[in-house]
Amino acid sequence: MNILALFISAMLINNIVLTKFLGMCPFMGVSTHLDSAIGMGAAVIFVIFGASVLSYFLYYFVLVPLNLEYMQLITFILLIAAFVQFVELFVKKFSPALYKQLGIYLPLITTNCTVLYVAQDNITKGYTLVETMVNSIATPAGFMLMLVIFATIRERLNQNNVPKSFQGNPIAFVVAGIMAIAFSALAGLV
Amino acid sequence: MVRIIVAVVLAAGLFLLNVVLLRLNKKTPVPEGCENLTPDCSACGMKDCAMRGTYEKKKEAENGNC
Repeated sequence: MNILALFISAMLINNIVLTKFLGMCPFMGVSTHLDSAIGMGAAVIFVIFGASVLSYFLYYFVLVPLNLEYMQLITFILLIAAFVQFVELFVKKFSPALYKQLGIYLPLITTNCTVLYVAQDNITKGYTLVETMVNSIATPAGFMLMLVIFATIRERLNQNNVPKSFQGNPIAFVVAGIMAIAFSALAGLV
Repeated sequence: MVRIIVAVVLAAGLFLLNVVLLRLNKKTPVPEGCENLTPDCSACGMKDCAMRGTYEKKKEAENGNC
């Protein structure tokens, strides 16, 4: 598959939040302010990329030679959890400035289902290493894009007069639905 | 039989790696100025989320200050 087409498809057309409804917890929870949305988005890109590449190597260099493909799910879960712990430890120890920006979001990512989805998706679709890397950057980049757009809309919404029964998450879900409809128009792009 | 043993060893190894990294992570001191970082998460309503407790405490403290 064309790399550019794969990138656009993963980021915009098959956007993980709007088409698969994955990662809804941070999407709703961390999208109230633009700053936190950018921090969370950056942390998700970093973790998904690292976890997906590691999962790729684990699958093709350990599980396949040993005929243990059926262990894919359990090993990926353990690998992702270990990777997030390692990243948090590393950032804590060697980059306090980065920890101040991203550290708080790392525990949230451990339970983010998008990380496991991207790792599994790369294997299921039989992507090569390069395609895996592109997909593992484009998918969380799409997540970050949605988070940032959504945060800016919610910041505006907070200043508007929303009916009481729609305040908070209800109006956020309505907005997310409208965004999903808007982005479905990009389906013919690639 | 060998395949099953290898599978168990692999899973156990990854689990052990997880436990070791978790313990190391807990032991590593938080950098200066980051001791009281709290997530800016408006709590989506998932009661089992680890961040929810922190968020509720933060909100309680804010309400107490008002």
